[in-house]
Amino acid sequence: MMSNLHDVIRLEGFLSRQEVCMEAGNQSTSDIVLEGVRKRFELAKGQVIDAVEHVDLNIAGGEFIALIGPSGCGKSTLLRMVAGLETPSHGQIKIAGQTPNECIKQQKLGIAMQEHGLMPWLSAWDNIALPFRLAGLPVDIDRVHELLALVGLDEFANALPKQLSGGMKQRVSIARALALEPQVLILDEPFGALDAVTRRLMNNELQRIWSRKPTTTILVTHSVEEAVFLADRVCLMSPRPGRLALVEPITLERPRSLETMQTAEFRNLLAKLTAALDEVCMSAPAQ
Amino acid sequence: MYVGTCPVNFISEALKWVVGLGMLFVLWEVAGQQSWLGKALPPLSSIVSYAMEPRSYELLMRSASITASNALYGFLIGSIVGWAIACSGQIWPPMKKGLDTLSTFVNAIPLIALGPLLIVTVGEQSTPMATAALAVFFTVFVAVLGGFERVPSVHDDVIRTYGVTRWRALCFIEFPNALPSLIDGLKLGASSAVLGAILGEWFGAPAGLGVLIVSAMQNFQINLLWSAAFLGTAMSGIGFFVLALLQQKLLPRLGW
Amino acid sequence: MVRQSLSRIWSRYWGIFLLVGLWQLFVSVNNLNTIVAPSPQAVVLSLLNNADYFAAEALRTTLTASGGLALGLLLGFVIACLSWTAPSLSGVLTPMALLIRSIPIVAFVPIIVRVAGYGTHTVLIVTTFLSFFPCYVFALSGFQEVAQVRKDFCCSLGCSTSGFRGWRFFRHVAMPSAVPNILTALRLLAPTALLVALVAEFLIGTDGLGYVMIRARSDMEMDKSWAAALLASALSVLFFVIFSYLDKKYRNNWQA
Repeated sequence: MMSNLHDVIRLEGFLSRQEVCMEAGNQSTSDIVLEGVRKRFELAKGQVIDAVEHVDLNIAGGEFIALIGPSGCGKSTLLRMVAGLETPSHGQIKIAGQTPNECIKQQKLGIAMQEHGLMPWLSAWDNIALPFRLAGLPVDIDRVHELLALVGLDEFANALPKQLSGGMKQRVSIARALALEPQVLILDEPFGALDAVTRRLMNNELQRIWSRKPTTTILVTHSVEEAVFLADRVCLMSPRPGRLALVEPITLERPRSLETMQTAEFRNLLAKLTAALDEVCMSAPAQ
Repeated sequence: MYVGTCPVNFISEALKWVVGLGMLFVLWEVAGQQSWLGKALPPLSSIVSYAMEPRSYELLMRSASITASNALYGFLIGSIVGWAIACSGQIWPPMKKGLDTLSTFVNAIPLIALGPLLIVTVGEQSTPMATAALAVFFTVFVAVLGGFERVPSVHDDVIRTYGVTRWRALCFIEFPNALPSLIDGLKLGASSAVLGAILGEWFGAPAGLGVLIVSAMQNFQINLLWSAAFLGTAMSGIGFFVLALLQQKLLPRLGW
Repeated sequence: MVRQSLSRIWSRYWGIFLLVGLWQLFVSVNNLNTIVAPSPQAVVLSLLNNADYFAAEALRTTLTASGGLALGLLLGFVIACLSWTAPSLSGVLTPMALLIRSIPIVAFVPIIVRVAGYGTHTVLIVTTFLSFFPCYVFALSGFQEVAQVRKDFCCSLGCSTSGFRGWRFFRHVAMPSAVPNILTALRLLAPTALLVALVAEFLIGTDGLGYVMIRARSDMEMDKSWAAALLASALSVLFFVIFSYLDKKYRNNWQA
């Protein structure tokens, strides 16, 4: 009886999640299932290193997940496996029932990294149009303009990357990731190279962009503040071997704004996760 | 990650060279036998047997040794001058800009255009040495300057905070930092020296490979022409190889 | 204002003034007559008196050199594109290109002359042949050196980054990435192309500045010969300056 009740509550929770997605007019976003995922690198003869050891994680469609953890804990490797840039040694990753490689072929992924990787010879506009060209699709001119407006760079359509500031480049990079309306957005420290103030503003910006159309997102970051501010759930990874040490749901109301960071709830979550991160760092075996 | 694959890469790299060169030589022999390019491209075998004949062998070796000594002296003079000029710009910064312009200008002058000038100033005998030196000079100059620029700015700060003199900074920080780049420049200079020596010999030098090449061209001595060319190539190849060996053996010992 | 710009010119070009000064000094002190070594004025006068003649010859040389350079670039670029899709081709061509780099090839122009015959077309062939390999190497390495982030980005869009299936990647990412490399190749090759054209003209003796240099000398018109050499040097410097400017200007747009 009791267990049935639990099931009902869980089911309700699940439904409400789905309803949120429906309300946002967004059925095309995918859930991600990681099952016993492991990645082993061979260093030299006989020497191996487990970058990621056994990760199980279910990500609902339209959920924003943040991965935090000390350097070298395998969070970027995990992200690269979801993005299909590495293959897991064991276990499997399914995005809406498909492997990452299948998703890649159908252009269901959008990716933005710390190094923006913009093409320096292309204007902001052309950089955002590039995914269409690389995928062999006709460039959707309206979509490109819409994205430029979304990231607030409509006046810089013709600017080359070198003429843009660090924050602007990252905005272009995020707009480029969104160009083909991906079902999963993958962000690897997108603001890692920015100064603290710009970074905070960019977080707010990303929150606004994401709220317009909540896409399943995985964000890797060093900043606990960033993770708490943006995510629905924060996953803390421990190093050597890389495992999930803690998964913390973030119940802060959306839409969030810079004021959200002043609330007690935010501060408490931040303190809790920071303490957990410190503990993971200190208990990790020395290199 | 890459440690284990190293020997395989080396073997496949070597294989590529062997296959590439082998194909070239076979193609050459066939082209020569069938005289696809007329009489001007004899088969390899006929070039080799010509070069091995005692009379031509002796002629070739005599010319080659003259060219080799021209190239060697030119190489030494050129690299010392290139190095010294790069250093003097470093010691006395106001001179630097002018030295850069001068060197770029001298480098841009085609060697062949310098011939008329050199035969008057240094004489026909020494022209090959001078052209070889000029050809080497710029490569070394650029390499040393590039090496100086690669000194990490942290070192620059160290120099400044300790109030080290320019001269000492050059000896103890800048020059050691520029060493790998200098040897790279010298490696490229090896073939420039041979080129310079051969070109210089076209301006009325009494003997040498350059003289041989031009007279063989004019007199249609095809086998002689090709043999001389091969000797020149071998010469610059040996120079390159020796310097590459130096780079591999010496640099690690100095901590690079 | 005037003073400032004068001192700027002096600090940049003092080396060249010094060179001209030494030349004048050398001629005056040794009291040489024009047949041995003409003075700077004599050379400039000869240039001005025969302006039309020199302009025509200079134009001829420039056209041959830039034509050969353009052909070599085109050929190198096309073959580098093919090599990118079929790595086995680059496996054979790259060692050959490296080998050719260590050969003093300009000195072997006589051989090409012997194979291709006497005539302007040979000058063009020689220049093309010499420009081809460096262009090929620079273009190919440009194609291959796409930063990992950019490759990852393309992979994440399901766009292949190698072989025939990667042609979209090649067209939109790899090819534009190679532009700075190609500019560098042109900057380095421009003076060489001119040198090669001059050497070929000098040896073949049909027309162009290289021919004027040797012809005037055998006619004992030293001022004319030196004027041709001076003009050739000026052209070479001009080539270098133009391509350095292009390199600098466009390279900037390739830095993110």
